[in-house]
Amino acid sequence: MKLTVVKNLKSEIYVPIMPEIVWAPVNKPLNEMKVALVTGAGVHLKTDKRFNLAGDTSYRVIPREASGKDLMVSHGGYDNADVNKDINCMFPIDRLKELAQEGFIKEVSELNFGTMGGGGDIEAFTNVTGPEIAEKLKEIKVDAVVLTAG
Amino acid sequence: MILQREIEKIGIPTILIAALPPVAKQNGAPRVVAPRVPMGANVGEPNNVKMQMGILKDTLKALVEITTPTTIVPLDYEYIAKV
Repeated sequence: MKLTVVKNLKSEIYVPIMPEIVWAPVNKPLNEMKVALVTGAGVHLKTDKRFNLAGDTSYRVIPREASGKDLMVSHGGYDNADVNKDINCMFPIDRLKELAQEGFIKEVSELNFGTMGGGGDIEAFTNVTGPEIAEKLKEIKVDAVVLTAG
Repeated sequence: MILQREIEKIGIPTILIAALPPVAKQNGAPRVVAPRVPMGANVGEPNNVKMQMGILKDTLKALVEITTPTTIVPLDYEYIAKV
């Protein structure tokens, strides 16, 4: 769709200023994709360092081999009751693996990422954490990412 | 949303399962699905495999079907947590 652009056209009513568009087109069917999971829900391996509940801009790597019983949550910003019963309700790693077995997607990414979202240092997330995670995902040639609690 | 935009910038298509769609919209998330779920259980009820699979499958379908950036697709799943 081609949009007509007229520069310096102003609105008569107040409208919110939206962030600029970022877009990466999809270029494969689902059953050929390697899909990764990234979450801001504070999910990490039980053996890994906890997140600082007051604010933390670091990320944790979660390998594909992990499943519900290897993972835990450390996040100060939401009620952890449900996710402690079943990690899949915020980080659906077991479900994604089942979808790969069914053939709905080709495979689950060998590296997945957990951060502690919910605000915090926006510049650090935009300039450090975000690009680092993006680079790692690109290195292993992930085709698509599903995020929860971004 | 911030992480999502960084990953999209590098060329990998992404989709967010949002419990709070207005927040996702305000932050310019490229693709969003919004089931009616609480913040603590974005992918559905704990141990409800059918709901979680349903939400995940619809999410992946929306990933390939959404053509306009910042689209939010409501999903017809509902989970009300007991507090």
